[in-house]
Amino acid sequence: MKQPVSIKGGESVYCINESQLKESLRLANEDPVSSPRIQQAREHVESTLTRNERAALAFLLIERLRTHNH
Amino acid sequence: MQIEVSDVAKSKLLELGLNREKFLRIGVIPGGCSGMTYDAVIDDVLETGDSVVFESGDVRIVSDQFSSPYVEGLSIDYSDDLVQSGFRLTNKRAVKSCGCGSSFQTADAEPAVASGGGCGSGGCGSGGCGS
Repeated sequence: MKQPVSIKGGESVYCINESQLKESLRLANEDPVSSPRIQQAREHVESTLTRNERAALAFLLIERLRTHNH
Repeated sequence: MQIEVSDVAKSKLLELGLNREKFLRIGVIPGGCSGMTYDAVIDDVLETGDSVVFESGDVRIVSDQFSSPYVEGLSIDYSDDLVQSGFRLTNKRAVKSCGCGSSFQTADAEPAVASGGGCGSGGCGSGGCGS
């Protein structure tokens, strides 16, 4: 074997820190304007997509948020 | 040495090519929020100081002299859940692990690097986080 083959899937990308998560939860659960909008979208996604589809959508959104400024 | 490999993980390792010649090499390298992280590669070259730490049929796990003590208590599982997909290497002896589970610290060993700084300090992806 020329090069050992990793089984760990490579490096992780797009980490979320505690401060970002806390603000996300505040927006989603407490903010009077954003919370209803986020919860409505979440309920729709959770009722129509499988677990892996939801994960794929979450990763796609993060990827697009990091690479697009809108 | 106490190492657990789930049946699904064994099947996946065999699918990846483990046989009488090829084995899983597990090493411990400094990195990650909690000090150390596992490296796991399929290899076929035994080096001086290597020892077989687990064997079940064609599933053999080899570790080097430095890493062997940290492999005690290791569990290897596999999941196709996208949120935590692939092989999961966890150690029940770990007293601390980072949020994504990729690095750990045991009670009887000091981490080789300072912890802290979130997941950007190495094991969780020093390239992608931008921290």
